[in-house]
Amino acid sequence: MYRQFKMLLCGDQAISLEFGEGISLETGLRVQRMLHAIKELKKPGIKELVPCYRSLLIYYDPLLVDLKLLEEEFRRVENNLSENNVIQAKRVKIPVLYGGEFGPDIGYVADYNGLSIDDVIDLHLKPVYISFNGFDPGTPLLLGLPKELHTPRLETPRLSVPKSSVAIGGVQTCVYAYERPGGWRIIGRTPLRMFDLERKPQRLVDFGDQVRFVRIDEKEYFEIFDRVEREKEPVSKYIEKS
Amino acid sequence: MIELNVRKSQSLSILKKVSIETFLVISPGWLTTVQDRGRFEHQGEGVPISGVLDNYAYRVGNILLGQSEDAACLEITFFGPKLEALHDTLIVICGADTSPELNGAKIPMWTVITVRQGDILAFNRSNNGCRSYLCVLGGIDVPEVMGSRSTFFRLKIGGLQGRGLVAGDRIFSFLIMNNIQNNKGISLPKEFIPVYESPAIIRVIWGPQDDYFDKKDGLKTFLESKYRVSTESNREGIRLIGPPIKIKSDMPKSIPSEAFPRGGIQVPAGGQPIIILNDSIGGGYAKIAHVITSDLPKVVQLVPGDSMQFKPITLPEAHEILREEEKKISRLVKIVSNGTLMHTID
Repeated sequence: MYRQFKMLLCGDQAISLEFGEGISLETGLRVQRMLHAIKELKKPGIKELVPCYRSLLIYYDPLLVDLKLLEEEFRRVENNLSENNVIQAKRVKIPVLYGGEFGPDIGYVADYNGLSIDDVIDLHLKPVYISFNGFDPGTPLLLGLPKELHTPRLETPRLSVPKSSVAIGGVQTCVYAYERPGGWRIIGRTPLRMFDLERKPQRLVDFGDQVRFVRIDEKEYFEIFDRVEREKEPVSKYIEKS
Repeated sequence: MIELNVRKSQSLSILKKVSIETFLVISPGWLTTVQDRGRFEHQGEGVPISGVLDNYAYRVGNILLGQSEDAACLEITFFGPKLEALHDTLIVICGADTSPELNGAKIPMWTVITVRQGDILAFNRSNNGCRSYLCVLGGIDVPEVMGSRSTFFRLKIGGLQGRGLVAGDRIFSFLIMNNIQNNKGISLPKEFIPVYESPAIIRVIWGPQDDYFDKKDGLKTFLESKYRVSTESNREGIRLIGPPIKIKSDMPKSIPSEAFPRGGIQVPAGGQPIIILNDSIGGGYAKIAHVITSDLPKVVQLVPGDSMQFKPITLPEAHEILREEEKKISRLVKIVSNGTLMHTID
């Protein structure tokens, strides 16, 4: 992580505040703290904030904003950030059926890392992950995957990864919100939908949320699936306000 | 006799707006979608802005109709649709010249045209530019999703179930009670009509990762070459073909994925640049530069095979250009509302 952010130009109506070279939990948290602190400023002329892994994209109105003054203000905000600057994050528990038909790559992940399938599951269940939103609404990319599970992506991505698949890609794990092409190793599936326009909340996991996985068996998978899909059981029971 | 369907708008509004069936789609053209200014403040959730690609042509069309610059329109890509009017209305066609015809007779672009119930409005293949905008009096009524009517294919939201028009679709537009007789037949003064040419000179601002590129085989190549629009271009981005732009050998070939605005020019390892457009949020490759906002219309009006050359300018210069353009638009709004424009037809 850099000592101070770098301000970079992204065309004539946006800037990027860059907080570090690569992806890390520390940098990600700095992005989130700055996001909330800048939102709090409620500054006219700031149009939209888009948090990413190591940077924060800020759209501004050049007719209303003096960029030099804005940068000074952001520097002040960064200097006053305190580590206890609390982020409004939720804790989300995501039930997962590991392996089998729903996790076709779990054997590869085990072999690649010299583990048993049960080791892979135990290790995957262990951490509290921090969520970053990817480029699909509701697809959380999760930081905190144990080193023992880091596995390279497929050389040729699949044309279609089923919705709600839990997968490992390099140093991260994720849950696919949509059926889409993807190169991550699929190790399981959750009966929950990560994103549903018709539901409240639409997104199960938001940027900055803490995520834990819970192992379920096939019977539980289909019970939960039935309840959430047919009976529209609210997903709020999987969410805890922190 | 055509039976008209009137319905209450499904969009949230303090004023109760009523909309009416205005067009029946006989054939949809190559790709025709409902778009407005765009879907803002949802990029943090991974939802791109979508919306019209050529914001200038769209704004001008709505201004000529004397209505909100945000009213939804049809974006027509290269080969236009055939529509039957189900209700009297006024339209303006802006952007690419798709040789529009009303009941078989050619009608002018950038002009307010009266359309009567039963008229057939047909578009042809564009002979200049890539995207036309059909602005309709009152604006098109489809439900708003996350504050916008814009079509976005990947999430199947906005427009007509998130897809392009198909034959048999019925297009609703809001009913306007005000008498705006004055706008009938007015044409856009020539100074406001853009010229689409190839090669286009596209002004850019360096960054944010221009330091990733080799001075000679990267930055210099980028500026001194012409880049051709590939057929693999769509609303997510324009792929360009030309001399490869080299990244410094000690720099990584990709960066952590991040969001950046439309107009960002990212360069994958192969060196062929991609200009990101409205239906995308960003990517994981270094960005050499960004197209300035005022030149985006020129970029999106190029068709595959056309070319462009880049010219760097400074941020203050870009902001001055933006201010000048806004002044020009305000001037147009004033001329239109004064009623001092020439009535060329009717």
